Amino acid sequence: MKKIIYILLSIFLLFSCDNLQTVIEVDLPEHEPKLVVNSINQVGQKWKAYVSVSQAPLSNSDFVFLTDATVLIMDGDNVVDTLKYIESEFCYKSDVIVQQGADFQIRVSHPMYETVSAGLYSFDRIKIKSVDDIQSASNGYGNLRFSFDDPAQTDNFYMISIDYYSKSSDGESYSLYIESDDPSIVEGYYADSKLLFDDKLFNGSTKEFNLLIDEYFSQSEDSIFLNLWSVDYAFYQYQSSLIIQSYSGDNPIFSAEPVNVYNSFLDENGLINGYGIFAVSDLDSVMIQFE
Amino acid sequence: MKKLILSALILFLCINVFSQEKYTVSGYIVDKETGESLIGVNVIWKEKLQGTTSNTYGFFSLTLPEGEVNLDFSYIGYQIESKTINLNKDIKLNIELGSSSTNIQEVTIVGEETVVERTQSSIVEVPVEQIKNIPALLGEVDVLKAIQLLPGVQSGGEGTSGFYVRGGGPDQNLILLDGVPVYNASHLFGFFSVFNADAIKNVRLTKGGYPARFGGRLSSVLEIDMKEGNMKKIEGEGSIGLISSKLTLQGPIIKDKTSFIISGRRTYIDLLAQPFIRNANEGNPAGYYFYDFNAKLNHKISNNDRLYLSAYLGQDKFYYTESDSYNYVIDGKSFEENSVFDAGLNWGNITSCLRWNHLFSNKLFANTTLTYSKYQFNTFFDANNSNLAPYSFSADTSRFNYFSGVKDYGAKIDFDYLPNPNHFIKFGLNYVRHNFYPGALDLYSSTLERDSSGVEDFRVQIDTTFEFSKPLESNDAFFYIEDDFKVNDQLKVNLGLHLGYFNTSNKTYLSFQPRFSSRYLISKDWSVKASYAEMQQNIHLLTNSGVGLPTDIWVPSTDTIPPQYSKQVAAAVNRVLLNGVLEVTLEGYYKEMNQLITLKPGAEIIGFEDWKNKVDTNGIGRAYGAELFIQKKKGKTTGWLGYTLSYSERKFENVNFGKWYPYKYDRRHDFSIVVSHKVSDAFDFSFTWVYGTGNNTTFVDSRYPSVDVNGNIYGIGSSYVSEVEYYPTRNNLRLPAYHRLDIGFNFNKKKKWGERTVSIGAYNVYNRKNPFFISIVDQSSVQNNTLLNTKVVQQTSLFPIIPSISYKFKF
Repeated sequence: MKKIIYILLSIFLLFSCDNLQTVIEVDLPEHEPKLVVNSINQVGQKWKAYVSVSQAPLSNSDFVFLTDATVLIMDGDNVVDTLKYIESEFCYKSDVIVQQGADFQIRVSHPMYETVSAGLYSFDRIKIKSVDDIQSASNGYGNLRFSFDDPAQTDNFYMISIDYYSKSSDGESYSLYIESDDPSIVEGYYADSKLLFDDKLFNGSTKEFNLLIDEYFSQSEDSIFLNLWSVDYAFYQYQSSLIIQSYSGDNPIFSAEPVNVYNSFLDENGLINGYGIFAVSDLDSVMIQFE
Repeated sequence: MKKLILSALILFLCINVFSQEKYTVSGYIVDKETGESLIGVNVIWKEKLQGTTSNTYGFFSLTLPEGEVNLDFSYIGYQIESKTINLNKDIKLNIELGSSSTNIQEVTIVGEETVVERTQSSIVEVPVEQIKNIPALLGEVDVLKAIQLLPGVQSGGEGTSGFYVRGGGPDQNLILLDGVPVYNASHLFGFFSVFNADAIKNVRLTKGGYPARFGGRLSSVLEIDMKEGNMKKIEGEGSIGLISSKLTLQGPIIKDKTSFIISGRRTYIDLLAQPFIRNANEGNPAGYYFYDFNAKLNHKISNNDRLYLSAYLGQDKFYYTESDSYNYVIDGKSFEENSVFDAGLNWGNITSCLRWNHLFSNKLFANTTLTYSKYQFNTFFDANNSNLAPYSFSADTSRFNYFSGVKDYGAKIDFDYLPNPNHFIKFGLNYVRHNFYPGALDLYSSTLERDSSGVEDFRVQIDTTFEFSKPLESNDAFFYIEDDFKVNDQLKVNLGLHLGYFNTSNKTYLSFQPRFSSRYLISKDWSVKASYAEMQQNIHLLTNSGVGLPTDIWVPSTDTIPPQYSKQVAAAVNRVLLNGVLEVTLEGYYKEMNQLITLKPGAEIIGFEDWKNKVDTNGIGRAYGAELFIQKKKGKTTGWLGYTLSYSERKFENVNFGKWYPYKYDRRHDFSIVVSHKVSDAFDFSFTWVYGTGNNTTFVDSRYPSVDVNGNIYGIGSSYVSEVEYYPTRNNLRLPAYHRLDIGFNFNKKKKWGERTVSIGAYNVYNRKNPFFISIVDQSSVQNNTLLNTKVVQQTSLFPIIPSISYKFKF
C-alpha cells in the first residue's frame, strides 16, 4: 500500500506542477471586415465622422482609419455635404453646421466594403430652467441645484457635466467630479466626468437636481459652467451599452454575460452591415455664480 | 348428469370467486439489522402475481381474497422473505428483511420494481452505497456529482455540483431533503454538495413523467431521504480525508421504539494552512471552511403512529481579519492606536421538519409534515478603530452587511390509499409561505469620545437597513391526486392532477397541471412507456454562472413576472437481459418551457438596484433528446453506462436580437461509464469515465474603435485605440470537449471493533486539461530576432490529476 501511495504522490507532483493555462485552437468563422463609422455630433458644430474597418478577434494589427472613403450627409435624398478628410484629426469633417432634424442621414461608401448608412432619431432640445449659486458644503464639496422641464409623452435622454475654465492655465477647461444621490443619476452612467441618464423617473415633470461637486477650483480665478446636453436615443443607447460592456469584465465566473454595444448601421432587413454610431446632441450651458 | 353436476360446480365456483370476501394484510417492512424502513419493497401474492410496493415509510397494504395466501417480500440486496397466511380477517404483518450480503457490490442501481415493471419512466434511484464507491474529487463522496453521471443530467462546469436536467436550468431542480426544499445545495462555490452521504438512505431522481404529488420546478425532482437511525444497536462510521472529516453516530434511545442519527462534517484546510496564511499575511488569520450537521429522531408512538424530527444545518465561511496596534511616546506621553478589521463571506442552509405518520386504517396511510427552510448569503465587514491619548479616548465603529436569502414555512399532508391491488391512490395538500429578501444592506457607524474628565460623547451616525429589493412574501399551495392503477396484466397507468395556487404582490396564479404515465408490458422482459407532464414553477433563480455561487438569488413570481411553465412528453423502451442482470432503457423526450426569466445583458446580481429591473422575462425554451441507460445489477462487477444526445435552446426578446440561441449547457453528446468490481472482501476498485461535448460560450466576432461621449476616439493615431467587441449571437462558440477518468481503490479490513477501509484514488487520472473558461490574451514571442505580439485564445483549466486518500471506519 505504501508503494501505491508513493507512486500516486509522485504522479501528482509531476502533473500538478503542469501549467493549467494552455493556448488552444478554436474554430472561428472567417471574419468579414465591415466599415465602422463613428459620428457623434452636436447641434451648432460641424458634422464629423471617423471611418475605419473592423478587425478579427485575434488580429493584432492596428485599426485602419480610411482616408479615401466617401462620407455624405443627406437630408432626405439631398446631399447636404460631402465630408472632407482632415489628416491632423484622423476624421472627416463638414463645413456645414449641424442642425436638428430626423431626416438627416449619413452614408459612407468605399470601394472595398459594403456601403453603410444610418439616420438620426428626433429629440427635444431642453434648456436649463433655473440654477442656484453654488453653496459650500463640508469637506471641500459644494452644492449645486438646478432644474429643467422634461417634455411629457416622449422618452428623453440627458447628459450633464460641470466644467471650470482655469485662468491660470490659459483658459483650459477641466471637468469636476459630480456626486448625487438622485435615483435618476444613481441609475445612470458616468463617463469621462459626464453623467448620462434618462427621464424614466421624472417623465413630463420639472426636474430638480441637487449635485455635490468637488470644490478644487478657485472661486476668484475660475469660471464654472453647468452643461446640460439633450442627447438622442442612439447617443444614449450607444454610450450606456459601451459602459456596460466595459464593466462586464473578463472574469467568466463572476461577470455578467457579454453585452453588445448599440449599433446604428443596419441594412433594409434590419441586419448589421456595418458598425458604429450616428447620433446628435444639443448643449445648453449656463455660467454659475458663488454664494 | 355429470354434465349437470360439472356445470353446477363451475357455477358454484364462479359465484364463490366473485362473491369472495376480501381482507387486507398491511404492515411495515424494515431492515432486520438496523430497523430502517425499506422503501419500494415488492410484496407479491405468488398465486396471482398481484402485489404492491412499500411506500416511503416502509408501509405496505394489500387487499386480497379470503383464504390461504403466499406472499413474497423481495428487495434487491435482501433475502426474500416468504410468508403464508390464512387471510380470514384484516392482518397486521410487520416484516424484517435480512440483507443477502453486506458487500456493496451486491447493491444495485435500481431498487424495488425492475425498470420494466415500474409505471413511470424517467426515474432513477442510486443506492447510497453505490455513490460512496464512485471515485470522488479529493476523496469527498458527493451525491450530486454522482447524479451528474446519469444520462439526461449534465454538470454545470468542471468540478461543480450544479446539475442540469434535460436542457433545464439550475433552478429547475427541486431538491428535497426529507421532503424539505434545499435552495442552495453547494459548498465552496459548487465544488461540493451539502449532502453528507453517511447520513443518507436513499436518492431518487425524477426527470420526467412527474407524479402529481410533485410540483414547483420544471425539470427534475431529487429526493434525498435521511437514514432514520439504527433501532437495534449503536453504530458509527466516519472518515478522515484530505480536506474534511466526518462522523456519523446512530442508535436506539429505546430499542425498537426510538432511534437517533447525528452526522457532522467539517473541512479543516484553513486550520492546517493557518500558520502559512498568517506568515504570508503579517500574522493575520484568513481562510475558508464549511461544515454540515444532520440530526434525526425517529419515534414509534404506537403501531399506528410514528414521529420523525430531522434537521440540517450547513454553512460556508470565508474570513479575513486584520489587526494593527501602535504604541508610541511623544514628549513623554503615551499614545496607543488599535484597529481591527473583519471581513467575510458566509452562506448556508437550515432545514428542519417534523413528520407524523398515522395509519387511519389498513388501507389508508397519512403523513403530516411541518417544514422550515432557510437560505441566506451575506457579505460583511466590521471595522473598529480606537485611539488612546493621555487625556482622551476615541473609538469609531463601522459595519457593513449585505445579505440576501429566502425563508420558507410549510405544512403538508399526504395520503396513501390502497383499496385493492389494482389501485395505489395518493392525494394531499401542501402549503408554503415564502419570505424572500433579495437584497438588503445593514449599515452602522458610531463614534465614542471621552475627554480628560471622563465625560463621554457617543453618537450613532448611521444605523439603518437599505432594502434595494423589497422583501416579498408569497403563498404557495397545491392539491394533488394520483392513481397508479392496473388496467390489465400488461397495462398500468399513473394518472394524476396537480392544482396549483400561488399568490404574491396582490396577484394570484392558478394552474391546472395534468400528469400521465403509462407502462405496457410486451413480455416480462420488455415494456414500453409513455408520459406527459405539465409543470409550473413559481420561484426563479437569478444566476449568471453555472457554478452554484452563493450570490445567486431566489426571487418569487410577481404581478409583472409570471411563473415559468413547461410541458414534457417522453417515451421509453425498457428491457431486462440475462435474467435481470442487465437493465436497458432507451428513452426520448421533448420539453417546451415558457415564461422563462434571465438576467438582462450586463446585469450583475449583487448590486443596489431592484432585482425586477435586472431581468428579462417572457423567454421560451425547448429541449429534446434521447437517453440510453444500461445497468448491470448483479455479480462482482456492477455499474452502468449512460449516453445522452440532446439539444437545448432559448429565446428572449431582448437577448440575442430576439432570436433563438443555444443554451449555455447545450451539450450535444454526454457519455458516462461507471464500474465497480469486487476482487475480494479485502479489496475492490472502481472507475468512471465521462465524456461531454463542450459547453457553449459567447465569443467575440469583431472588434472596432469606440467613440466617447465627446465624439472622440481615445488613442487614435496610436496602437492603443479604445475598442468595442461585437458578439454576433449568444453562446456562439463551443468549448473543447470534456473528458476525464477517475479511479478508486478500497482496502478493507475487519477489526475487532468494526471495519476500516483505506481508500486511495485519483481524479482526472490522465491529467486531461478540461476547459473551465477561455479568454483572449496577448502573447509575445521572438521570431528571427523580432518581437512578435499576437492574440491567442487561452484555455484555463481547473483540476489536473488530483490524488486522494482517506481512512474510513465503521463500528
